[in-house]
Amino acid sequence: MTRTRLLAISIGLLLYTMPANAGFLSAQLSVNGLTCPFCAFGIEKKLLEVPGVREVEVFLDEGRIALTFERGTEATVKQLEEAVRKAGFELAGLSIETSGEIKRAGEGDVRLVAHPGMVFRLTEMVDRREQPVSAETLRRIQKTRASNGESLVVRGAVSERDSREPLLVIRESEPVPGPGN
Amino acid sequence: MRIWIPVRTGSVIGGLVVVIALSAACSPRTLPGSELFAVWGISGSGPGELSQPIGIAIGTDGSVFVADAGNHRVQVFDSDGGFLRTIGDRGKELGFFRRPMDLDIDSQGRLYVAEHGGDRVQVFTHEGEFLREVRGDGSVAGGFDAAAGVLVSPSGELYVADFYNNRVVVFEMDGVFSRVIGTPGRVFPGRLHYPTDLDWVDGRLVVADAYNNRIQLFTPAGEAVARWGGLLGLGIPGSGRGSFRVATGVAVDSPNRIYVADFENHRIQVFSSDGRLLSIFGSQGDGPGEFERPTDLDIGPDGRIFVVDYGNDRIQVFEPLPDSLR
Repeated sequence: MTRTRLLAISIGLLLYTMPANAGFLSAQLSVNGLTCPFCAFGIEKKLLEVPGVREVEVFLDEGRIALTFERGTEATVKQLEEAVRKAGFELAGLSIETSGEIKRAGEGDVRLVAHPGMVFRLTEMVDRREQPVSAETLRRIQKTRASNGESLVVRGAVSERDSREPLLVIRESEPVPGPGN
Repeated sequence: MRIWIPVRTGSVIGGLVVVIALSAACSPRTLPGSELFAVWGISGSGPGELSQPIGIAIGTDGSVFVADAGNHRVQVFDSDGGFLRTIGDRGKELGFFRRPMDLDIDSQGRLYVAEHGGDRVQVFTHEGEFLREVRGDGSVAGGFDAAAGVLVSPSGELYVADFYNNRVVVFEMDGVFSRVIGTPGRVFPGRLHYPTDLDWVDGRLVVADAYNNRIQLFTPAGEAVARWGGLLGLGIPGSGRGSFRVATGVAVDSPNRIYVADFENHRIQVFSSDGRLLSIFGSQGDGPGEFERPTDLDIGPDGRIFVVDYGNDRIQVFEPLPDSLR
């Protein structure tokens, strides 16, 4: 059964074609060589020009930037990357918190669908081997959700494979309060 | 000192480069510094507290205006660091700021504030009452993309350091676009790479060509007439004498000496108006007289040197250099 989830997806690699619309809630960007306030305030300026970006916070010494989005934004990851490039930098890393759906796509195969055109296959590490997430893990996730209302945070890493679909490897999951809580 | 130069085909130029570089970096001459007079400022967002201070201007009455960029406001202090008042707050409206960066005060005491995020220069009375704005509009003629620096020339023209368009945009006294100075680029004279501050010396425009790691001088019409910073002013970053690692701030005193905030080298360097190094002071740290990435500076009516110690959220004040130092 398809259920709406709140998913925090740590993305190790920049996914240029991934649409960031509708479900984007917040993001963490990392940029190398960000040391001066002229650049920090500049990158803030460029990111605020991306439609849907509501707030930008630059952590200068960490080279990290936190973004929050308006609900229903039409921004894309490519726009974020372009904004960073216009500020004179290259995006080194990106993590995104978004809303999405978890679907059972087949036997032992669970897919995270954050948005149409944004498809991940959930996998987990067992004995240092990556494999599709087990039914037990899925039950645990669903159980956690069921006991904590509307939302669930799943943290993982997305890596590109030979497939067109980036893979999300679940590392941990935790409940978060739902919108009404 | 004698230096052996390998005289072989192809190595003469290399030898000359070595000689020039060594003479610049290893000069035995001891340069005078400046004595610390006062340190003030405390991190925070309350009245008189600073968060990421970045620009400074000293009024003709000695009051000190600080662009408190992290708090999106301008704060005014007396010459001893006593808090006087705040101008503006975070916002897009007239009289509000989005990252105020640089300040200037004209001969009538009016305050000019360059905004990085707002793409505009706002003008206030000395007391902080909003008067008018000059807006940028991206890369078109007369526009600017992130106003990093501002200067009112003796004739009343408004100069804006256009950070992302790598140029200086000039407006008439009434705000009408006049001309552009400099073109984007590296190495060559007149090319600018993220300029951040401006001042005026001997009828020429001084530009802190920050990420070219050099100072450039232009005529008011825009002809590049001098440059220095490292080897031949080519823009090579360095930490030797006369070299810069991001030259972000510039100020000129009454004897026409040019002070430069050498951001990544955590120091101030002082030059004659023709680029001869006169003084160096400061080093990295948070102790008295030390800096953590100084961004800007200005000279008080009594010749004291006010430095924005950005990384330490404070202002440091130094005694004037002797007039004999030319």
